[in-house]
Amino acid sequence: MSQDKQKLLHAYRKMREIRTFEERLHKENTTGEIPGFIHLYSGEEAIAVGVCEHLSDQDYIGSTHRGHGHCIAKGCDIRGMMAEIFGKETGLCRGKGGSMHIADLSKGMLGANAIVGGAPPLVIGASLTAKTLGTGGVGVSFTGDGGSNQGLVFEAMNMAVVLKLPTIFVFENNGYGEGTGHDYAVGSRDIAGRAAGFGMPSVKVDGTDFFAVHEAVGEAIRRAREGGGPSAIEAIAYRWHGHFEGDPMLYRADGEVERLRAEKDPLKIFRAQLGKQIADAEFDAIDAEVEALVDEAVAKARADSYPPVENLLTDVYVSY
Amino acid sequence: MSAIQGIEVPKWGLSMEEGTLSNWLIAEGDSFKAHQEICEIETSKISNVMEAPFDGVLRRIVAKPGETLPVGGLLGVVADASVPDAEIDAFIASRSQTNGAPAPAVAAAPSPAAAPPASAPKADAPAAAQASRPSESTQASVEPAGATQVPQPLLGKTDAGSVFATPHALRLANELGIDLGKVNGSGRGGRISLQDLENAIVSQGGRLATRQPVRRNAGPPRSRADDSRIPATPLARRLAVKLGVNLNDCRATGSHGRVCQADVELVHHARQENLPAPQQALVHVPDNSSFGTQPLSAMRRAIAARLQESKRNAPHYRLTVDLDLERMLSLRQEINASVPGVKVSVNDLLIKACAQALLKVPDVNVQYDEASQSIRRYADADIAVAVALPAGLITPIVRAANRKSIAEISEEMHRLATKAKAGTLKPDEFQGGTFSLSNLGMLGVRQFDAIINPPQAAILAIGAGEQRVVVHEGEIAIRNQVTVSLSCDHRVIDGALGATFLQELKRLVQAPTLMLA
Amino acid sequence: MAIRTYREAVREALAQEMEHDPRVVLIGEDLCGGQAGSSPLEKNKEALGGVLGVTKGLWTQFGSSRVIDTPITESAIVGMAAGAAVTGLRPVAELMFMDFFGVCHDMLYNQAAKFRYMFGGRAKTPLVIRGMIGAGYSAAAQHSQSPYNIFATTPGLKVVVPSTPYDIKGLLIQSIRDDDPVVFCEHKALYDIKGEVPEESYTIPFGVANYTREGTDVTIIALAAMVHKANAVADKLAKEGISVEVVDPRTISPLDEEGILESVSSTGRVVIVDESAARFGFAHDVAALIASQAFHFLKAPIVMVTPPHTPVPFSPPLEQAWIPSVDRIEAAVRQVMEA
Repeated sequence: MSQDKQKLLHAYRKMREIRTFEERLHKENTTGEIPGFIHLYSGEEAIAVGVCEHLSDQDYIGSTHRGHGHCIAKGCDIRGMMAEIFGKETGLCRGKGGSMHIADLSKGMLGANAIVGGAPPLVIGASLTAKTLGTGGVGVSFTGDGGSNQGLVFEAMNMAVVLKLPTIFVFENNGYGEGTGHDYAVGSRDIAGRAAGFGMPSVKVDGTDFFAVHEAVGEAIRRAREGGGPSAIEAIAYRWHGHFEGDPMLYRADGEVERLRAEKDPLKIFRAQLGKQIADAEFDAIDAEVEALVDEAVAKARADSYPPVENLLTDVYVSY
Repeated sequence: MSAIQGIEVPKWGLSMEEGTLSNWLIAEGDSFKAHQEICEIETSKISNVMEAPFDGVLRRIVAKPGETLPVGGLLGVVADASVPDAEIDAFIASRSQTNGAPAPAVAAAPSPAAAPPASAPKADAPAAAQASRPSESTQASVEPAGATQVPQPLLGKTDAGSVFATPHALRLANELGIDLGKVNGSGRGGRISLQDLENAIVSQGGRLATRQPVRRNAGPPRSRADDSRIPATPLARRLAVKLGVNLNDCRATGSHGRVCQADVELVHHARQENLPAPQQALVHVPDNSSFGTQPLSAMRRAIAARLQESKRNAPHYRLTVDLDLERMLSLRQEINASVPGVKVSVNDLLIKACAQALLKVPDVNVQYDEASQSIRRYADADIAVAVALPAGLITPIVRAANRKSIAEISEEMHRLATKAKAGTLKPDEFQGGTFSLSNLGMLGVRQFDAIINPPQAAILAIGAGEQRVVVHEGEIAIRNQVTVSLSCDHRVIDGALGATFLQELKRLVQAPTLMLA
Repeated sequence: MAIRTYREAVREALAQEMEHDPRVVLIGEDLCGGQAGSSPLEKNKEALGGVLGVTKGLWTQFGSSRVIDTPITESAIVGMAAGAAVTGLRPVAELMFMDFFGVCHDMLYNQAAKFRYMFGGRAKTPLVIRGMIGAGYSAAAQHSQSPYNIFATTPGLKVVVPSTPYDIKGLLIQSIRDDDPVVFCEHKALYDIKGEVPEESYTIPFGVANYTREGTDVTIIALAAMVHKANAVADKLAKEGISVEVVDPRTISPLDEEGILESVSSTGRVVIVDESAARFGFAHDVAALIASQAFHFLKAPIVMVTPPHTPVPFSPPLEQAWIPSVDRIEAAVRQVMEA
């Protein structure tokens, strides 16, 4: 198998892992076994994977409350993620973080982040570390169209330009900030243009097209690694599920989700683009393997034990 | 070692808080040797002979027979014959505050043996003994009650540069001549606190000075500051002068934030209520009384407090069954006839039966620890048996009755009852236990209910064994029977569980050879 | 031992730690100053060295990769420092005036303070946030506050409030070496006080109170500038035969509970002096500690000396009335002695 084909199948596998993981959570959430809130990433797989296929463990990403896709794309263990979401001791954060705080620093994953707009300031810190210690690494922040309106995101962009930090600001424009449309809440309607106003190269791409994302990010990362400072990318994609699981989505038009699933599915688009090079059977085989992996992760998470109550007081300074 | 030493009420056992001097065995002026028996002391549970802690001459008897003192209280003064009487008097005076403290206040003070958790602070003795006025603080150098005794291994000099300790731990170590290098620290970074130092003294066999809780001035505040500029109504100001109330102590509920008449009166009334009541009122007895007054003995007070606590805190319920004694009586006859020197009673057999039943139903063989809301489960059945005494009652314990033969139980019970009546039981012979028996059968009682002896969770009340007309195997028969009632603490033993125990007990009593299996 | 000011002790601690560990970087506004200014003079490249000159000379010594001047952008300063800390640097971020935490608190409160716990112990965040506290300079309501009490309510943060040149050097070095986020409060009224400071590098452990005066009648618990006022009261009253013990906890999170309770249980009388707040402040927390753990040793009600529940005023007479004064502390001691 050629190097290229191997890479393409890897990207497909990651996107499929995200899709299967999220759709499975959508189903499992109705059993009542998953504590707290979950926010699903289905429909946006090409962005996370298009970015992270360029990154190694020494590159850092900062994520959002809708972070499962970024975690999987960055190489977090799917069993550890599932266990974390179930609140089990075997979770990546030993059951102390949950869906909105999954992190794995050994993989360069700085954490999902439940504060909207929280990642960019932290990611410029990771970029500063890379620059100061000369590791050659970069930092990538993921922020939604909603988060793009937060003041601290602007501060982070300005700081990155001023200090010429190796940072890529990825804005995932999925059309809605919680229940409010992007067209209402983003004054200029143009996130990429706004980022450009801070003085960095900035492009807008189709976020359902893996290749479009991959190419734009590739250029930004090359620039960052060469000391050329930060870049921004606005990727347009579509969120299939509600803001959170349980959101009745009254803000959507009738048939909107069905249309998105039919016309804007990043995996279908990817398969169609590669129809001539890769046989359906190869994709289907990956789908089956991923299905089995997620089955196993759910079964294991369900069987694993909750953290002992003693853990309440560990990993923080408590005694005064 | 100072020339004047006190003989103090010793602490026998964890729960001992005070002792009553019953008798001096030596007189003033007598010299004595260490370990010589010098006096008898009675506690709520035992009376015992006190041995002299050191050699010396008894110069003064402080506690008269019948007097009750807290642990550490001064019984007598020991000094060389050359020490003048005035110094002895001064020594006693310096200690009188401790001896005079009423028993409840002392009981409330933390006792060193029952040390509070590490977070609870303790004052070092010299500071606690200081008088409340600062001007007197320089005189407070007298030895406090129950002076601290430092165990030999801790003695030495602290190298302040090499130990990590709190300032007060360092200070006390210097005062007592202790090397803190020999004390383990439990604080952050292994820091040695005052509590660590005190724990080390106690755990290595020393003792700590008895500490006095602060005597709080319970009355309302009395300011002395100038109150001429406090806004007040004219009437309130006049009234305040008349009643001796400082306007600084008053709330200001009047118009424009002024102190009004009601505010002054409120302070005045609060003070009236806080005045100590005249002494006579507390002990007033009508002259024509037709009864004699006798203060409660230490044992009576212990019984009263303990059983009141049980009745109040433990939700009691009772289960009653009749036991057929025929086969047990035959077994008893057989043993008494065949084993020389043994005279087994029905009670001894019931102790054994209870022990075996507890093994079968271990959820009844428990203690309930109220403080920690937990149940202590025991592998062995330690059966406490109530023994009536002229002054009250006591419950000596047959330890691990499940592992003892009936003959052993019988012998042990005989020995314990004899010691109980002589008042010479040791604390470990009557403290603890996992289950109690109380038998009033010999007094002809048919059936009664007993109060649980905490922290135990159940007690069996045994009535008289007697011939009754019963239906036995479908026929009217005359058989020896006894009625027993089990009182259970419902917090830890539910009804069905108590009933299961009785079922097992009945099975053993009515087929007693099973006890030997 | 050398004689140093509080300011010099801070600078010395920073310089020694930067030499000791290349991962230590300083991040803040005008730490150097003069970047892209129009002054033609080479020496004016380092125009400020911190608004009160605390970091003067460090940029010249370590260069702009280690002493990082930023825009006026507190959220990005603290956020970048937090992100750098969790990925391998040991940043010391400066907020200039601690009052400014208001514009950037999320990065401390929701992010840095929580990483270690929220990520199951698999992250460490060796971050120091320096900032000035304290009233007395007519800096008015937004530049005079002492919000250390607010930081201390957040689990995961450690909070240091030093009072002397010796303490500030040892505690700052300890803070930089600590693997948790530390909020380091420097009292602006103390920058010019002098004291003996060892020239070599040393650390002072967190959670160990310093008794600046030892005494037997009253315990005064105080922080930062208030320690010096408490000392003055103790020295004055000693002449009247009132023996005052002054306890300076130095760090309020962790707090030396033992050190406080042992002193209180030996004196039985307590005055707590606190510049933070009239309600829900350091004084109230310590009073609650004492009331719950050492009630039986108290001979008098605890007295707290705090500012009134108002913003810090501008006009000097008003501001002086706002700050807990020597007179008020003395009156409080006399009050507990009377009771």
